[in-house]
Amino acid sequence: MSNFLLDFLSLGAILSGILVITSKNPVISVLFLISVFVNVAGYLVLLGIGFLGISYIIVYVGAIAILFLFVIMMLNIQLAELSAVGSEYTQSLPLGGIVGSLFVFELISILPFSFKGLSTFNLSSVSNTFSESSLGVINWFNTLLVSSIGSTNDVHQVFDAAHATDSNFTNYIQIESIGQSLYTYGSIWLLLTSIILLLAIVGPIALSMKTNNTDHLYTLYR
Amino acid sequence: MILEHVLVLSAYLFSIGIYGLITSRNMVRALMCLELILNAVNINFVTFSDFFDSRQLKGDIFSIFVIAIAAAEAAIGLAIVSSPQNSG
Repeated sequence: MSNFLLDFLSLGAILSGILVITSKNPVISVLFLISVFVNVAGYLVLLGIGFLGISYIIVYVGAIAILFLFVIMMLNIQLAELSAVGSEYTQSLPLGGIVGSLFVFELISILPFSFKGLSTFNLSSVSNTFSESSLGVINWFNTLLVSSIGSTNDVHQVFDAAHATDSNFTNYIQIESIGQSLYTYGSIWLLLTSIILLLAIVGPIALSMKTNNTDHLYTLYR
Repeated sequence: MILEHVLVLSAYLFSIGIYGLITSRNMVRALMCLELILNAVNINFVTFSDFFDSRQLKGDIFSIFVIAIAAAEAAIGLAIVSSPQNSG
């Protein structure tokens, strides 16, 4: 059941991502960006990481997307891409195809053979020459090409049942473990991030300040 | 199986974000595609930390910082976009 919903959420995220870049109205573009964020947040929650899923909705949808909407509605952005139809979209598709094929190359060739030395990757049975992870990837591509059912999660166990994370919505032990690493080993990073967020407050104020001469702030230092 | 599932989703979103970032003439749309790229990177980090690092969750912590930095650069980028209209 959760595999079914995972497929729906990932398809929704990809479709919304395509519609972000190909819609003419910038407000519709922001709405599809919100849809991408909500789909990815639901995906993360189903994957077992409840804290990051909820914080996506709070931070990305609640702050960043609202900021985009404010700026777009305040600015009256000219629809400069209205004329970019037909040949102007397809003339950069080969470049996009090259970038996308790099990822596909990495997923096919490099990723299955890097699973052999990991101790937490708990396979169900011993296999010396032919790793079960590569069997899983090849089987997955086979189901992509041949059939449309495509559920191959019985081929091998990626994680053992004690770490089965797709059945928890929130987990206080997970938040506690994030906090225990974040506030001890990542404490300096936290302080640096606070300084960067202070810059993000002061910077837009300084950039959009109007003085009496209606010049920018830097002309005051002449 | 589920690991490659998530990584393919992350690769798709990253490629769509890069394509939109390169071929957009509007700066606000470029900033939105930059958010897509950072989103895909977040999914990647979080997946690897969930599968292979159940004890320390270093990928989760890094993606918290990526969210914070993405918010900061979205704010500053939109201020840069809207500054000629305010005083120009």
